[in-house]
Amino acid sequence: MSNLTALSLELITALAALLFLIADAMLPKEKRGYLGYGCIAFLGLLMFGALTMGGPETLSAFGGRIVLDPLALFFKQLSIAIVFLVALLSVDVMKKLPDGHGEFYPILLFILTGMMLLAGATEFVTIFIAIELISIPSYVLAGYHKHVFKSSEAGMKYFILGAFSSALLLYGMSLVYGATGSTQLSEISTALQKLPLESPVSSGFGALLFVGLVLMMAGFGFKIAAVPFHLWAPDVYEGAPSPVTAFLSVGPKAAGIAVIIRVFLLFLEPIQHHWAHLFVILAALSMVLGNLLAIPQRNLKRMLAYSGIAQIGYVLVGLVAATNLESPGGTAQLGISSAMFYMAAYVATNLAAFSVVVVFSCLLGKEEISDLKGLSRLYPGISFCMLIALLSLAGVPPLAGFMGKFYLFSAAWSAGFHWLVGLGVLCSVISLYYYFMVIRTMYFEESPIELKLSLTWPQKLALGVTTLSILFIGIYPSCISTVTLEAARLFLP
Amino acid sequence: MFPILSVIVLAPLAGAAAILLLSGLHIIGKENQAAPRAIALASTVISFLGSIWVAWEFYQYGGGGILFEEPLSWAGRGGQWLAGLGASYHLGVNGISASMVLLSGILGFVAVIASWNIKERMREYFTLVLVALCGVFGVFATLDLFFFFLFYEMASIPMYFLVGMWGSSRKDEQRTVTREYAAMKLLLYLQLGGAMILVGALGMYFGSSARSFDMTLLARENFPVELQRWLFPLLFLGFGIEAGFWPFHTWLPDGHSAAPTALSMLLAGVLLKMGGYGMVRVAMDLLPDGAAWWLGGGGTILSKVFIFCALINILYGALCAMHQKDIKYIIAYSSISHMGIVTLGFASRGVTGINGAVFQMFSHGVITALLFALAGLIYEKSHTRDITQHGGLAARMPILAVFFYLGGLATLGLPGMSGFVAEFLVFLGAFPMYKYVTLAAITGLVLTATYILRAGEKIFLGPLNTKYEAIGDVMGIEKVHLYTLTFFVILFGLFPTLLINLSNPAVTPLAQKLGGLLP
Amino acid sequence: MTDFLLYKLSHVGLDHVLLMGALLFSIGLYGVLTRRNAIAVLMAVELLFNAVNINLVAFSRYITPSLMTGQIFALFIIAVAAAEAAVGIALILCLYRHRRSVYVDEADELQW
Repeated sequence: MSNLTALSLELITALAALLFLIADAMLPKEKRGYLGYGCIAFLGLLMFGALTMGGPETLSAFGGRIVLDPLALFFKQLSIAIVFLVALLSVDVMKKLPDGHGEFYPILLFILTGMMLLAGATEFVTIFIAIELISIPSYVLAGYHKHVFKSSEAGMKYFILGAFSSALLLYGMSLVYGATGSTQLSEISTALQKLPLESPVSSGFGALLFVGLVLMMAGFGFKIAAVPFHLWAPDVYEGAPSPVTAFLSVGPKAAGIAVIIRVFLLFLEPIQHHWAHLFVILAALSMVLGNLLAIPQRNLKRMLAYSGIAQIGYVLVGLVAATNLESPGGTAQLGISSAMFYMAAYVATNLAAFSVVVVFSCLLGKEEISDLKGLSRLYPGISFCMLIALLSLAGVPPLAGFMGKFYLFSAAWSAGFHWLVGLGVLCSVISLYYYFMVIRTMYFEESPIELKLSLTWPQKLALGVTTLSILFIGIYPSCISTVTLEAARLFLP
Repeated sequence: MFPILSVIVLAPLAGAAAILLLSGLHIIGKENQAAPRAIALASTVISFLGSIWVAWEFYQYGGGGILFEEPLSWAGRGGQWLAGLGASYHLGVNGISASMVLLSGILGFVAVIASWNIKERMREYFTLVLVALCGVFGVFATLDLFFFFLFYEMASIPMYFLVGMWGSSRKDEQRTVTREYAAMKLLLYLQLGGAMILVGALGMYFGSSARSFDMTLLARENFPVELQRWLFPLLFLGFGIEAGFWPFHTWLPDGHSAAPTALSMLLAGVLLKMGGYGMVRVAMDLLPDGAAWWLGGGGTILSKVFIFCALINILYGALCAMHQKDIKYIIAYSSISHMGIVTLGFASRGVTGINGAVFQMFSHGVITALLFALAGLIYEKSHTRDITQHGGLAARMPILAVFFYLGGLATLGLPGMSGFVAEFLVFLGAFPMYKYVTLAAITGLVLTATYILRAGEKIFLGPLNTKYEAIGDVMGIEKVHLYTLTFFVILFGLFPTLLINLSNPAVTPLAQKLGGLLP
Repeated sequence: MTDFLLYKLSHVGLDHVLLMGALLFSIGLYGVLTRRNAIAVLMAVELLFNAVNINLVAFSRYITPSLMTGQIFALFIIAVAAAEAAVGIALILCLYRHRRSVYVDEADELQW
């Protein structure tokens, strides 16, 4: 008998998505605008429900193929928060579209279902289904402005590279399945502990497994846009509608990190000497190239795309810190906890930045950095939110981003990756340059035109919630770090 | 016990919050000049008086320990502030920090006075200045490395905005420096220094058995010598960047000169001192074996590097100052030169030398602030910073000229002024350790005399430039900070023991740890 | 000759099938990376998926003959790939409406 409580959030969300789909078809056209508010209300309730769930016990369903443990719950809550904020940002943008905006919300909810499913999936087929449940609707969302060529192009590019990366991931999974004889992560883990002596394909076992791991890592790397699998990100971010970009910049990354933690660090831990070095390379490359390539960008969304690549590099540092490459044992909990903490801080920060971008680009149709000229004089509130977000991304204390980086780097240091910490710190110094160029544009320069911005309450709410969380997490980091530490108890030896 | 240090540190922050809150509630309008100014003045006066009290109490105590300790219960030792992180809000001062707190108190107060005539975006300006001041006080008052870093950032990030928004650009035949460029350069250099400090702090944290950022605990820790040897240069250089250490000094002249007057005073007066303070209080005090090895005791060429850089600082700074036409650049390069003397004092590892260096930090802070204030006043009146464009201004602004010569003579080390005591002590302490370096450094003093007298001559002496027939002297509130600063310059020049007795008890055990000369 | 082929065919081992899968995967990879026509790229992606299916079925047959895990996985992949293709074709159509072309290199507005 399956314990469906483990799946309750996913089931409710999927059901709601279907209801919204029906409602979209049933409602008269002029009333479809209310769907957005309905979606926001639903997500608020869902968030409330998810926050009341919890407890240290692990629930499992379908023979252990789906679990609900603190780790999964954390990422589920994070996913709901992400989609909630994205919905807030989308309402007014979608209202302005000539047709078909009602489909937006069911798509968003399906993605949420996928994200939550992925957080608790412990089996290859489930993981694959969950990833596709995120990816396929995401392609649609990226191309949602179908009358805008850029958007279609972004959807197309995202689709091709996304499908390609799914195929890589699947091929990797098939090889790992072949090497271990199971698609269940727990069985794979036990099989790996016995191997390679009893390997079914003992001759080519190592190669099979290793190629499989590399391909899986490439697949996941595409989803989280880590260098060298980042090429799609800037184009897609620039072309996609701004609220969708806001989602893409955090959603797939959070989900991807969740699944990487579960697959690699929890279950493939026995053979970490095979894959840990690759994560070190990914982390270092993402930090360095993400930050360097962000410098010449002129488009705000594109700049934030590269900055997101760099940020995911920092998160990977946390994952690397959870391995015992340099120091044997004892740091896994700290590393995972720090990566989760950073992910939460990144979500709040990046969504704050994107709230401003959405407000700005959708109301004025502008998204170049130079268009922000003199924003601080005309809209001190909005530019203050942007300022806080950028400072947090740059890692300035006492904001969430700084606490996250500090936590990450101390985890990495205690795991023995001194050079990686040095590199990361150096990279964040480099990153100051491009973040502060935006700040400079907003604060030091005069506006050539009189802008007319008027915010609606969902936008204000999104801006307020994200900005306050950046400050709150920065000043009182324990509120997140106790949760992440608790969730990372799974990783205690 | 009354939490005086918290009051000193948090008063500016409370002021900043008050300004933000009141303007958020539309009580202070955009055009309102008086209210933000008054709030800023009130909060800095509180800190100023508090810092005098702290210094005075310390003077009477006269010991090497830590006074005014404040571990707050909500944060707790090794507390839950960031779960599993040994950082806590722990304040307390020893002799060196007490004198630096006093310096910041003085400069915070005079900086607000010097900003009296700011007209643009008053509210933001004073908010940022107050936040930076909170950071500065925090750096000198905290005993926790994590908070040290936090306050360090709080002090340096607002500088970017202050320079970039209220600064001035320079465009002449020598160089073109926009304020945005200067602000960015300042930011990147300071953050590079900050990054090195952070890495060093992490290294100490994880190298310690206590797993704590508490400096009192870390000081008792016996770190392995190898760890000390590679953490020390990291920290020393990190702080050094902030103190204008050659070859990482280039942010300093640009940043100081582009900054508005009050900020130049703060930058040169206390921000550089945060670097110097960190060198002695964090790098040398917590890593004494590493310090001894790198500061001349290691016997290899590496252990001479910092001393060599200090010498270059002294000479190169002075030579550059001689070459400059822009008065703020002259003062900025003179800062580089004088911070070299501080480093030389630290590098001597002896009681006299370190005492001299601490004294020099204080004295240079006050004197440079005075000079920058004067430069600002001159610029305000003549609208140019090029010294060759002036001439004979003494006839029109006698008071200003007097103050300038007082400050200038203090800089070049005239006996009776604080600058003399400081430099004398440093050279006295350094001579037995590095004879030739000290001799070479003393020639820097001659150069100092040259550029200061040259600047004074070009601006104030000679026939009056006809452009400035109608120029007026300083008056009213403009005099307040000049008098205040000059008072301290002469006070500590005549009674150096006031300050030396503060630092000496803290320096003596440090010199013992470093294996330097005792008196 | 015929006998030889028949003999070989009746002794198809796991490695042969895997090789076939790898070959298919490589062809698909080549197609994705070099084709300009979006439809062709889509077909190449399908090849990739089918290579995976072959792998899975082969592993299932040779390694865990008693379980159907691989086959079921393959069924899921077939279904999802169909959904993916549907979305892909919709996007291609969208692009085609703008430019009257399905060549991916003509979609070049997003560059820096």
